[in-house]
Formats: sequence, C-alpha cells, structure tokens
Amino acid sequence: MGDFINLPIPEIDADGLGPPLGQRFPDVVLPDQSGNLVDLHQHRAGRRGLFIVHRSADW
Amino acid sequence: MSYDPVSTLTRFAESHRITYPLLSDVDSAVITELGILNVTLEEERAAYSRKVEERHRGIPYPASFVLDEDGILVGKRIEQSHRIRPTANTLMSTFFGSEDGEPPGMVSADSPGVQIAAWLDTQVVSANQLQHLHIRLVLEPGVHLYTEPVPLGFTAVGVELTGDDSIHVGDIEPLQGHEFSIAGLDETFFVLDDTIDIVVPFFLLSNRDTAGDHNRSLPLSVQVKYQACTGDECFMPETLTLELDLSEAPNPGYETTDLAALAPLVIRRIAESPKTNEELLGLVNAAMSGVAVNATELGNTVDVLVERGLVVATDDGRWAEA
Repeated sequence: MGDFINLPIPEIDADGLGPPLGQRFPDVVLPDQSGNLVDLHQHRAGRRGLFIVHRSADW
Repeated sequence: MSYDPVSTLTRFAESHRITYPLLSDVDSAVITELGILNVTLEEERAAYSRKVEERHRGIPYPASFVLDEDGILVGKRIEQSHRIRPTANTLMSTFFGSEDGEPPGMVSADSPGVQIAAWLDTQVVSANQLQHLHIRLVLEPGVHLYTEPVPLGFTAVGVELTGDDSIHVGDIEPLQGHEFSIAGLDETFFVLDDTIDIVVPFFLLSNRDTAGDHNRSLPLSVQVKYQACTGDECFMPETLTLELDLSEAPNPGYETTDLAALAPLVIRRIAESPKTNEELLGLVNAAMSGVAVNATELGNTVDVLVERGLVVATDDGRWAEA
C-alpha cells in the first residue's frame, strides 16, 4: 500500500479542458455502429445523458 | 464516441452486445472541437519509452460529460491518460450519487452515538481502474467528532486502509469542520456533526505476475478512528475496523496466454536481435503451440517489460533488450 504512483507523464489541466459547465453541450452528429447518423441531443429526447469519449475500441 | 471507423465499432458492439450508440469521430473533428484532443501524446509515450504510432493519432483525453434534460453540461471528468480511468460504476456514483437502497457489499459498525457504513464503487476491480471507497458516519443528534487540528489529548477522525500491496491509495479530501468551543477551555476545536462522508480514491496497480490468478481475492480492511463527544461528555476514542470484500476481475487480455509464458519468449527473441511489433508477433505466435496471441496481448506484455526496464525502444521503432 502506498501513495498514488507518480506517473511520468505530462500534467494537464484536466478541469480546464472541454466545453464549459453550465452551457449547452455542442451539437454532435456522427454515424453510430450501424452507420446511421445520430444526433446526440435528438437521441436524448429530453432525457439526461452521459457522453463518454474513449480511445479506440480496437486496442 | 471514439475515433474508430464505423466498421470497428460494429465489431465491438456486436462482440460486447452493446445497443446504445457508439459514435465514430473518425477524423477526430468533434474531439478537437470539444477541446479534448490529446496534445501531449508525444511526451506521454516518451515517458514510457514508447513512440507514437499511427493508430494513436487523434486520441482524446478520456472524458465523460453529463448533460441535463435541456442539454446543459452539468458535470464533466477529463482524465490525464487512459492508463488509469474511472469505471462505469465510478462515473455513476460521481455523477448521480449512490443508487437508492443499500449499496452491494456495504458493511457497517457502530459505537455510542456513531454509526459507520463503508462500501465500494464495485467489488470486482481490474488493474488501473480508478475506484472509490465510501465511508459514511452518521452521528446521533448532539454528537460531534473532531477534525484536524485537534488539541493535545483529543482524537481527530482518521481513516486507514490496509490490504494487498497492489492497492494504491490516493489522497482523501480534508474534512471541513466548523469551529466549536468548550466552556472553560481556551482551545478552539473543529467539529463535524450530522452525516460525514469520506471518499477514498484507490486503484489496483497492474501486476502481471498475478495476471493468471483470476478472481484473486483482495480483502480490504478499513480502520476508522475518532472520538465522539456531546456538549457534556466525551466517549473514549474508538478505532473501528470494517472488512470489505474486493476481488480482481479476470483480465480477458490474459485468458489464453499469460505473461509468464509470453515475457520470456519476447525477451529471448529480442535478445537475438531487435524486432518490430510485427516480427515479434509472428515469432511469438509460431512458438505458442497454436495458442493465438493478438497484438494487444503482445503490446501489453511489452509494456510491462518496458516499465520494468527490461526492454527499450530503438531509434528505428524496434524493441531491444535493455
């Protein structure tokens, strides 16, 4: 057991990245796994949403 | 959303039976527009003695965004790297709080005036997943606990975890007490009352020595130390111990070929002469008696060997013995 290891990777200001809180999330319209265009906000259909951005699914 | 082409997402969704949309941002245009394109990739890879490969171009910082009913961004988490990242359960508990009812695996203990419960985001973890241990102390009305700084002779709330060496514990947010004074004493105390929530981040450091030992049990012991007082009296300082069940998930990357078999093969082959990824993959597969090793498994093995200082990258993109 110990402290978090200090990863030897450059520090980023993670909180400063991405769109600002409190504003409308930008429109995202992209093809899904079936090739159909999905509009993020339309897909939410008035519900809350969790939008995850990930590295390749192929790693 | 990832920067994969649709065909990759089709295969991934089918193999994992995913029905929610996986979006393909193949040129990382949206990733760039959202301001989460990884711009420190070269340095990051260099820190692991690795080079940026073509497949890394356009990679985002791992990010999670929570939108409310009107599409307003109400929560976000952006990680430094994909190496250590939160799980679905961690995100759910971060953004939406605990589900109603008792969390699975919750354990509890009590002493006069104080009830303690402890639970984990999830009871099955994989290496490098950021997880949280939650500790909740519920005090009876009129009871308070002390927090730092405490005058000599009093005990502040403290938490200590003991468990497997591979569990790495992060920083706990300091508890914010409110000022309190006791008639006849000069010192100022800082106290906590009502409900106190303590969150301890931790992760399991990847340990390929035990990678073949699936469902490894990693019991976690939590000691909570405190002294409960009312306006009139103080109870003796308490140290309550709660035992939580935690186990390591099977790692699908090592189901067919464990590191014990792969690592010596890699070392032997590159000792002969430096090899590219493709050359290594071919040689390792030829030696594996029909057990297929994929590029990811081999890459993970090489990663470990690099981290351990046994393998280094050469200037021409090959792997060599350190």
